[in-house]
Amino acid sequence: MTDQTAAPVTVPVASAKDYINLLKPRIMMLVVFTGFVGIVAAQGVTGQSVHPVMAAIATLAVAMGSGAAGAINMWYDADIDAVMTRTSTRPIPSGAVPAEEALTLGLVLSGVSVLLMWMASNWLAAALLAFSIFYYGGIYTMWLKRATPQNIVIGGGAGAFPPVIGWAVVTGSAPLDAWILFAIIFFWTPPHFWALSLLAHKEYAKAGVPMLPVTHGARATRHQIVVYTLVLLAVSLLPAVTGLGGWVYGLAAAGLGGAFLYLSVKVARTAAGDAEAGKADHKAAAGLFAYSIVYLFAVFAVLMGEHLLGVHMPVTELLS
Amino acid sequence: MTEDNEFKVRPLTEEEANARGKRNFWLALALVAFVAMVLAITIIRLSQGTGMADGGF
Repeated sequence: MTDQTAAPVTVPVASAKDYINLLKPRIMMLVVFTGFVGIVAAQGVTGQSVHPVMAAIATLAVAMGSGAAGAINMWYDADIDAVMTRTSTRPIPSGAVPAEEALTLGLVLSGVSVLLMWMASNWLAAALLAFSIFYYGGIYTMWLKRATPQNIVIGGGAGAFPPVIGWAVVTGSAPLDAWILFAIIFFWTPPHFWALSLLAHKEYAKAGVPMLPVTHGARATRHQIVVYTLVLLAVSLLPAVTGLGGWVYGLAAAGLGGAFLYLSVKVARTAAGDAEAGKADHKAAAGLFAYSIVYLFAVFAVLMGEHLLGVHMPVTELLS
Repeated sequence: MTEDNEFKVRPLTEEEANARGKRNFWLALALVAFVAMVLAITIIRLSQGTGMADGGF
């Protein structure tokens, strides 16, 4: 006969804030914003429209999908989150939310978000959302992150889907322009994240996560940041070529990208991430990380502004 | 049934009861929101005359 009172029953006392943190709200903001820009840009370029309520529900579905992937990520990474100072206060390692509850929340939100997306738009948008959740929660979190220093490069694709999903919501298709927006986020992710990892590489090493500065050193990482920023600069100008963005976008992308490149070269000339790195070196890497967030918001905001404010004039029209 | 194999229920502390109450409230709100969204989608699709044929619900 077993003693039913042997194991103490624990009742979670997590607050709403803990559950919100489980959904990675800062990433969610970026995901929602870029997804919404995809919706606006698709309407501006194709002339097709979507009912505002449907667009709002589709945007909410993207947010829920992002949150679902975040919760699954936190469930799987609870062990390494507990080791790193930066992540040790997250809801699972802090003990606020039981791990299995986080997984349940992630799975339920995944299902509901994909269902809502399908109902509010079409199967392509729903399928892309489902794949992006799987990409982040499965491919990146469960495989790439602990397996290869290319984790951020390949895994960056997960966060790049929202504008493609937004485009699909409006048109039911995913043409080249949508994938250009994907490429901007894809090539933005490595320099953005590596700037942070230059500051936190010791933590990643402690947790056994093979981030580039851990496996190849800070110098190689700083070099790669410049290389990827150059590619990003080139890719970010493509909308001005295809007509997705107008001349205002082209000028803004060139200026914002130029500043990004300047800051990344500045970091490359420092010892950021090295053992002998000083305060100024850390400050340069932190500055690049902060600017990279502003950069992505700004590039997408200008694109959205052009279409929303009716000032979108393709470069080809301006020249003719 | 003997006394030994009965479940002994520990009363919730005030903090636990409050947390459970809040969770239940937000869950209820989420369910209502979900139902409202499904209703809105249905009404819009009916008014537009669209449905499964265009790849949607």
